Amino acid sequence: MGFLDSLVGRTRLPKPNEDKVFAMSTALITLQVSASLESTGKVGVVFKALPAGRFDQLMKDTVGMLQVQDTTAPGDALKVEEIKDNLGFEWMVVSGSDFEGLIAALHGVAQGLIDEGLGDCLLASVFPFKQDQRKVYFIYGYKQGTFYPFLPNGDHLRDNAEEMRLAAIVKEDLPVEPNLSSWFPLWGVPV
Amino acid sequence: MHRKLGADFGLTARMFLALFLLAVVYLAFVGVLLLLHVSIALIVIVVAVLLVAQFFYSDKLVLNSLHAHLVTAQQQPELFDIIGRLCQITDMPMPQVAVIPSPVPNALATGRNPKHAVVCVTTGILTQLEPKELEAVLAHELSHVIHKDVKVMAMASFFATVAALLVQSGMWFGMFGGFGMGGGYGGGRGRGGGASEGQGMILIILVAAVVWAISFVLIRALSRYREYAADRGSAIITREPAQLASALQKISGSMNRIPTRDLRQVQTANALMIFPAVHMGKGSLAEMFSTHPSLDHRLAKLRELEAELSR
Repeated sequence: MGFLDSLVGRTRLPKPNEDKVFAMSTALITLQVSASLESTGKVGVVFKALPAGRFDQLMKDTVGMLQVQDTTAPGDALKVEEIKDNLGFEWMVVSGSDFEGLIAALHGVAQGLIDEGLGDCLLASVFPFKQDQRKVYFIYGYKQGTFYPFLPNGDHLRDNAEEMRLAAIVKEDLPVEPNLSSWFPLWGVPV
Repeated sequence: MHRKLGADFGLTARMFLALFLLAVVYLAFVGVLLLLHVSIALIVIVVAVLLVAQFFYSDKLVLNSLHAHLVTAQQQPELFDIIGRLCQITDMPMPQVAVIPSPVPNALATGRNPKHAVVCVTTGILTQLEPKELEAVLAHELSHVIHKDVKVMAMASFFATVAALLVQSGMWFGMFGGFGMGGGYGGGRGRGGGASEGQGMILIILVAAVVWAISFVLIRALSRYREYAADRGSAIITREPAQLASALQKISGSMNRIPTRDLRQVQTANALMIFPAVHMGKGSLAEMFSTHPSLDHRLAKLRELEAELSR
């Protein structure tokens, strides 16, 4: 936000930073080895939904594109699920056995929105993992271009200690969000 | 390809014009004071200290005067979720969140910069708005924070406050007849006896009064432009200006129903509110002296934005 922008009261949304999401594919091994996290075979991307009519075709095209993506390996075909949450955000949940394929799918969704001029609407992508019996999330904020862990622990509470530990474990592999107050929770994540 | 809302050139031009005219008035004011060999150093220092204090404690001052109390994510989970996502999508730090126990639906934001911002809502607005409408209102408030409105308005009103104080204290000293001594002005240096000094002071008070009056109108205009800018900011962030329009309509509707006794409690922070708590009469003259544009004008502007986005 420049001086001139604030002088005339102009809002500019930051550009989404899309390509750092690929760092997750190398971090996966570290997370498996050092934190015993296992992929759940799902990833999600969440973005601001537009009112009916301004959005439908794009969503249809995106789902179509993801389903076509893996025709070469029919056993590995991606499944796509569209979910609208109570805050008016749209989730695309992609499931498949190949982690690299899932990340490529996220890239496809984000790129599709950016190409449509809707890059502003991208909020985050979410990587759910299993750790023993509980779920652990890594969230990638598109506007920040950074990852952070999210470990819900009961009603609107988080396991901050384990989050800090996980952040420390992956800090060589992932760009971890340095500002703790930007580790925004995503309560009730449908992934 | 979806359209993006860019800058509003008309609004930007008007904002520059208001700032330019303010600068002209202030420079003329300082020029006249220099010409008359008046030192207002003391008043300038007093006002500077006042404004800096107000600037640094704006969040606490507003919270105290409105009986707002800070809340946690556990107490207001949905409110925190909405603000958190807006902050993530605009890449700004999470502000503090406060709630005012009042049935009057309203919201405001304050704080000198995004790191020290407080977003404040009344319990009335939480119950009366749908989540999407609430999101649009909060995006309007966060736009005020992004635009650093507290800082801009504090700077814009600096010399107006000096002039106002000069007029007020001048009149006070005038009543007791003694201008040269003890007062806030280092006296009319190089001037002769008491009589001419008294005349000089009357002239200064007149000049200050004119500066005060003109800058008052300009600052109010600037304040209205910043409201339009925050409405536009909300539309840029949410891409749904219709939600803000609907929220404003609901807020203004219940504003007119609520008795004035209740409204008076929120009067102090009127300039910061999403909608002025003090009822404004129709007509352009009333609007000229108001901190907020009229509801009709705001709704018309939001309809334009909605049309621009749907094209």
